[in-house]
Amino acid sequence: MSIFDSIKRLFGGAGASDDNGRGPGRVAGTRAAEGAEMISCEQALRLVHDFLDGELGDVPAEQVRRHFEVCGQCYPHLKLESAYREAVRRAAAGQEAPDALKDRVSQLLTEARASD
Amino acid sequence: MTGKAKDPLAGFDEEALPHLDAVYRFALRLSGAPDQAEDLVQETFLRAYRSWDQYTRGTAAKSWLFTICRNVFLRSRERNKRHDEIVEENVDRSGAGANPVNPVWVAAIGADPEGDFFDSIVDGKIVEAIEALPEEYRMAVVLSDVEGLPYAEVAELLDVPVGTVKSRLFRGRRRLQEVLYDYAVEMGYISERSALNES
Ligand SMILES: [Zn+2]
Repeated sequence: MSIFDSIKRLFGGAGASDDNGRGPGRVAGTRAAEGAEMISCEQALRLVHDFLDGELGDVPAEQVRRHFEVCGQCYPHLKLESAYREAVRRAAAGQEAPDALKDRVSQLLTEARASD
Repeated sequence: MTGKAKDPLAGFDEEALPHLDAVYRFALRLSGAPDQAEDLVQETFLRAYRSWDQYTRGTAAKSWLFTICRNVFLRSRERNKRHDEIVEENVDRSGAGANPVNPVWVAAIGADPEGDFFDSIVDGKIVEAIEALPEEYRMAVVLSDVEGLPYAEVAELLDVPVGTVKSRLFRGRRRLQEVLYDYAVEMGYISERSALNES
C-alpha cells in the first residue's frame, strides 16, 4: 500500500514535464491540453485488455499508458494482466504438432498434387 | 506477384505449412483429443490445398486455416451428435456493465502484485485449465491470448460480432485467472493471508 503511494508520488511529480513530442499531426497547443487530460481509474481498468491487446482504436495508447504509470492503484492490475498473458502464451503457444503428423500432411499434399 | 495466376497452388507450402503447429494446437483445443486433432489437421490442410485459389495471398493465412479447421470440426461434431456446453450469451456484450476491477487481482495484489505466482504454475496445469473452459470462452482465449489474433480476425473466424469476442474474452480470462489463482493458493505459490486484509 505505502509502496504504491510512493511510486505514485514519484511518477506523478515527473509526469507533467514528460512530453517527448509524439502525437502525430497535432499542434503543440492541443498536445499540451491533452497532456493534462487524465483518464479515470475506472476508464483505465476498462481499457486494460484493449491496451494490452493493441486494440484501443481511437483512444491514444499514450493516455492509457500514462495512467498506469502514475496510478499505484491500477498499475498492479496491468502487471497481473500481463503476467497472466505471458503465462498462457508460454504454456500453450509452444506446443508443436507431432513429426508423424507433419510427415502425413506432406504425404497427403504430395498425393493431392499428383492427382491434380 | 503474378505467380498465383500462373500456378494456382504457388505459395501454398510457404504460406500455409508454416502454420501447421498452430493449426494442430487449435485443433487440440477444439477437440480435446490428440487423435481427433490429428485427423482435423490432415483434413484442414487437404481442404486448404483444394481451396487455395479462394485464399488472398499475403492476408491472414493462420486465421484462414483456423476457419477451415473449425468448420471441419463443427461438421464432424454435428455428425457425431455430440454437443458441448453452450455458454449463454449475456445481454451485455462489451462487458461494459461488468465490474472493471478484477476481483482475482484484488485478492492477489497484497501478496504478489507482480504476478510472480504464474511462473510457478507448470505449463500442463495452465493447458488443463484452458481446456476446462466452456467452448466459447476457450476459443476466444486460445485465438487471442495464445495465438495472438486481432479481435476482428477472431470475430470473423467465429462468425460473431467483435463485441461478442470481447465479452467472451473478458469472461473467459476472468474464469481462467480465477482457476489459476485458486490453484496457486492451493499449492502455496501465493499466500492468501493478505487477501483477507483487503476490503
Ligand atoms: Zn488508476
